[in-house]
Amino acid sequence: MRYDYVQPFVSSAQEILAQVLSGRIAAGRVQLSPARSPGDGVTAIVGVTGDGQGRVLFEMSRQTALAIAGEMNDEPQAELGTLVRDTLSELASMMTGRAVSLLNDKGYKLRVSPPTMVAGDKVMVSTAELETLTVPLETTHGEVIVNVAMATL
Amino acid sequence: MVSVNNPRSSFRFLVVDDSEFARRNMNKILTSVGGESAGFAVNGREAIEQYLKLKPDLVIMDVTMPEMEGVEAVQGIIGHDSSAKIVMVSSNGYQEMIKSALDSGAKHFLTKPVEPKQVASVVDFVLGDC
Repeated sequence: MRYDYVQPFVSSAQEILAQVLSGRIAAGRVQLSPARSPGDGVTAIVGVTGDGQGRVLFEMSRQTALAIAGEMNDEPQAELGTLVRDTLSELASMMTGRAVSLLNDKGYKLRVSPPTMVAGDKVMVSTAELETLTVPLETTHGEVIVNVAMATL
Repeated sequence: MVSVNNPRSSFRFLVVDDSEFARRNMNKILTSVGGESAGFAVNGREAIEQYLKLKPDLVIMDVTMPEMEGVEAVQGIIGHDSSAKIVMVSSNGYQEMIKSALDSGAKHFLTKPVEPKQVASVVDFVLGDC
């Protein structure tokens, strides 16, 4: 996996979270993970096609998901209902959209799919034969893990 | 989070986005800058129908939507009313997409997440208040 494909997804996620949430967003260490990624709580999955094919996951606990959606809507959220899922889906779309825009303006041709939201403590997302890089982003509401698996054509 | 106090003449707006969060957020911002909601639509096809029915002063149109995407909807609206004032918004802000939006007849392009001050400035520009 080429690192120049991955870095924009991490930096864009960090920038967007800093724009929509109060407080500092701190990035942790990049880790090379196995292709199977255990989900924890709520996961937004965005597919990437074109010059690079793969997917980006944004993983967070249920509590973090509710708190982030609450701040973005200016009202507390108690359940993983339609508005919370829609808010997190839009957040995932903004984070990947900025990354794809950066890459496309450098000459790549990438497209992203609308995010799919998955909730559950035992979610497993399998990406066969793709190595996965994960970076934790620490927000005031808890950790959002950016998980990128991309194959270069 | 949304607080822009900038008095301007009232205008009626139509927000088109398949995301409930995005519609609510844009609604709050446009209301805070003096707008009045005329209605909303969740895809391009509904946007054309609602535009013809409601005749809003301003349309805020998402690019990526199910059934009919934003660029096609802008062309549809402009086909009926060449003076329509439409601002496109998207999470994707690469040059090719912005060009495609403006070529379709949109007056301006905003990248999500939208900032209230930026929206206020674009509203002024598009509605010609300044």
